[in-house]
Amino acid sequence: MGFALAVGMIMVLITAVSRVRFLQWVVPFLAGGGCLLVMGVGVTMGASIPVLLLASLQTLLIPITWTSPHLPVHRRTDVLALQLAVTAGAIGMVTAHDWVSFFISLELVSIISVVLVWFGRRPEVCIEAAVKYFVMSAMVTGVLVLGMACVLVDTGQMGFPLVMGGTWLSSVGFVLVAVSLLTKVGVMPFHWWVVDVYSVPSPYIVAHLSTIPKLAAVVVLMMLMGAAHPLMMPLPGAWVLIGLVSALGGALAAVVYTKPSYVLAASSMSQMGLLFLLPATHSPYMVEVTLWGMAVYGVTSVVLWFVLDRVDVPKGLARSAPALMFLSGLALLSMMGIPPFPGFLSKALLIKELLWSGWWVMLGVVVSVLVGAMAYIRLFRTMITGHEPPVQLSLPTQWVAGILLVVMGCGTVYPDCLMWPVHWVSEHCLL
Amino acid sequence: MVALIVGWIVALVMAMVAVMVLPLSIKQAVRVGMVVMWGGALAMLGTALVAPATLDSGIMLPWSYLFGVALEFKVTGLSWVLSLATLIAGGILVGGVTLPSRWAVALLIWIQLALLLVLNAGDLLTLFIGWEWAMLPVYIGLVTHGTDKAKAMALRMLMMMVTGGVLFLMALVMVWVVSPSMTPLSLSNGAVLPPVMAWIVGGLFLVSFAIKTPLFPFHTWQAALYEHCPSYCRPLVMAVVSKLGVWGVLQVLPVVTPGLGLANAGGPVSLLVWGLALWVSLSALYASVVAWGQSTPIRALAYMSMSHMAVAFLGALLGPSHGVMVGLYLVAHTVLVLGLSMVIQSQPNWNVTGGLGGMMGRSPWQAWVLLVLMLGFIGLPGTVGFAAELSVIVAIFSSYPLIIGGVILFPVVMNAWVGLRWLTEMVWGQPLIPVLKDDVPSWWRVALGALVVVTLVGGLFPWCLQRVISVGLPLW
Repeated sequence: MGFALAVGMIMVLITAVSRVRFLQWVVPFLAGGGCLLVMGVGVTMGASIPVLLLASLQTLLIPITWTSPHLPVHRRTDVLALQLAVTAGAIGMVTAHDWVSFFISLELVSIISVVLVWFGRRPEVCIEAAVKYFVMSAMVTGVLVLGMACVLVDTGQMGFPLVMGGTWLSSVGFVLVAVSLLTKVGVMPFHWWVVDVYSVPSPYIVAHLSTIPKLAAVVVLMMLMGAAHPLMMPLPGAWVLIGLVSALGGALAAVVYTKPSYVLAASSMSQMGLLFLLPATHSPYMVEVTLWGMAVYGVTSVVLWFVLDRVDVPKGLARSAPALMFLSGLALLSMMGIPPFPGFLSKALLIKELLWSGWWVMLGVVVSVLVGAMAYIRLFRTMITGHEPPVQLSLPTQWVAGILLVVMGCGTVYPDCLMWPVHWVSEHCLL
Repeated sequence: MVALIVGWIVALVMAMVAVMVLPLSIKQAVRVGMVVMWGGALAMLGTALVAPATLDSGIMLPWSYLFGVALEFKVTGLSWVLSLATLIAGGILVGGVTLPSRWAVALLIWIQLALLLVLNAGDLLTLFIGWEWAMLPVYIGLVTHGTDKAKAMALRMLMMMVTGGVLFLMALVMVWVVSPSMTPLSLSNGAVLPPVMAWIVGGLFLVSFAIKTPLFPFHTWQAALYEHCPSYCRPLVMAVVSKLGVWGVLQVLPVVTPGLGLANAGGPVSLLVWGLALWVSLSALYASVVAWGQSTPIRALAYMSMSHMAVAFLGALLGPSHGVMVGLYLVAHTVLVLGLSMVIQSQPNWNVTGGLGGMMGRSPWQAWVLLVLMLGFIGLPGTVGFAAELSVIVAIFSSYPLIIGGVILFPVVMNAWVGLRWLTEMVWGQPLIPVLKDDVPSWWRVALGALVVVTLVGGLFPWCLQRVISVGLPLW
């Protein structure tokens, strides 16, 4: 929780500094340096891996937000501060030691995310998306409180780690908590808000919303499953069903959609669905593989949203901005699972864990991967075809693209540089 | 040698990124392409002449310590010959065809890179990486520089490839999980799998290779690809990329599932193996019949090539003891198809019925080149094609039941018929265009001349090629 407070302090600090006009240029360096400092302290003090992943993703997101051509100068600090607040909430979620602090952190993430959704380029549709997101958040809160109450009444316990045991009431409670978190992650059939929220706000906001809160929710779900697995899902195979429905449904929706933001939204459901097949395996590497999958998804997703932020129309990107095409090509190939990009190892590890889960699970995975690949290929094809005039990229955009290229390149040449914190978690249990 | 090839793979990656990202002109991009391709070919040739012992070597590069994954490379005589052929073919194409943009150069380098990875892979993972990469640039080339029909078929082709890739990946993961070996993915020492698992893994690999070869009924993409592929990469795709399926059988199956090699099976040979052999031989027969009915030279060549590759597939199933014969067949086929596709492509009417009509009068030197190469392709004595085809067919007859050998003879005869029909048309047919035009660049002529020399010398002295190819055979 101390790390969450630290990020919160950075947020307050940059807000204060930004009030002084001639110090505004310091803000991104202060924010980025602060996040790096949190990471550094986290590594020294043995912080949990999700904290490090969240802080590193946030560090990656700061230059993207700050250099966005669609963000007015007077709004930059506000958006950055709000993003840091969401990250603070997400860190709070993964480091919570009791239901109360977990609930407060989740609420922080939810409420501020609503405000971020509101900050789009087209206010009239942004309001609609924000209201939808707000309704979803309110519903999640209600279901979560109900679930927490069931567990509390049954076990009389507010703190983590959760004890193994409890009656049917605890099971009901855990299922409700799981439903609320699944809604937060946007897994089918709890996905009804995803497409709106992904397609309406500016891409630099979506880059944040599609990675930080999702990562936190997935980690908490995996933590709960690791601690109280028999109570989490009384119906055998329910996780598999949810995972397969989301993986297949998301992939099919991605093929149907043509707008890039819709395709990415739908494909995120598919990617998350594949991860939620893991609990069925009872694998000791479940958390590890999930975190690795989330880390890779986070980086590739950030790259793609960054590219969509810099070019309004991705058609003909290969000719209009070859450097951005190269970068997004790497990310798309990674998402498809083409070796040797980081997404390949993520898919290979997933298949390795799922290999003995039954032939129909494997069939579902193969079909969803193939259908998802079709959607990515089509997006890729849109980018490499067409004769658009060359776009002159601004210097900050070139720098940020360079940073992202280095991250993707390092993850390809030597995956351990992205993976080492994730691997470490298997030796130091989360709860 | 293996260090040189790995270094050259890195150089190809850097060249590809530079051509894609840097604002180079088309001339500068072509220069980069020429340097990396001809430079690589010369370096490989020079190293082999100075230190021939390095032809049989291997190294392992750690990729991820955390998951115990390494990339292993090895060079054998056969992989060296095919790598050299690939680089030379790439060099000829970069310098000899009109490239639409610098992206075309980048895509050609990309194909080279993938092929070097596949041909010199020492483990399943490295092979898989190259395997997946080989078709992506072809897809991009089809979409960016192809016709409307090419764009329509590109996705179908890629989805077939991705399906094959997923099956390959599943088999790879199964070997990774099940094999008790410390280096389960290595192609050098073999993965010791339980019998049932060996059959499952072998089946998955076989379907994956059958898609790539391709065998019936996975062949629907091949002729369309050859027809619509952009001209700058068509000869390379037809000559080398089409060999990857058989290359996979040759490299992977004897290691993963030794029981599938009939020569090693021992005891009562499974009905499944005979069924497999029958399927492959019927695929060869089917392809040759379809080739006979094709109207354009390029489609006929596609189906004849498919038929030949099915014969090679059958030979490769025999296991490591017949590796040299199949290797010779692959090398001969690479040389012949490269030359044939270059000649056909340089004709103004290559994609219409009767496109080769009257070629002897219109462009005699090209007609003679086509004559020699086609005679080699149909297996006439005195050419490298004869030596290669004969050795594989003899092996098939001596190892499989007579019915399989009998079925295999039909496609050989049918292909010869199609080839002779071409030659007849070329000599006595009516030209479609009255103007005799022969504006093939000198670069192209030298390359074709060299291929004719290889065809004839290889036919007279096949043991020279066999000797180089057989280096490193015990590693298989």
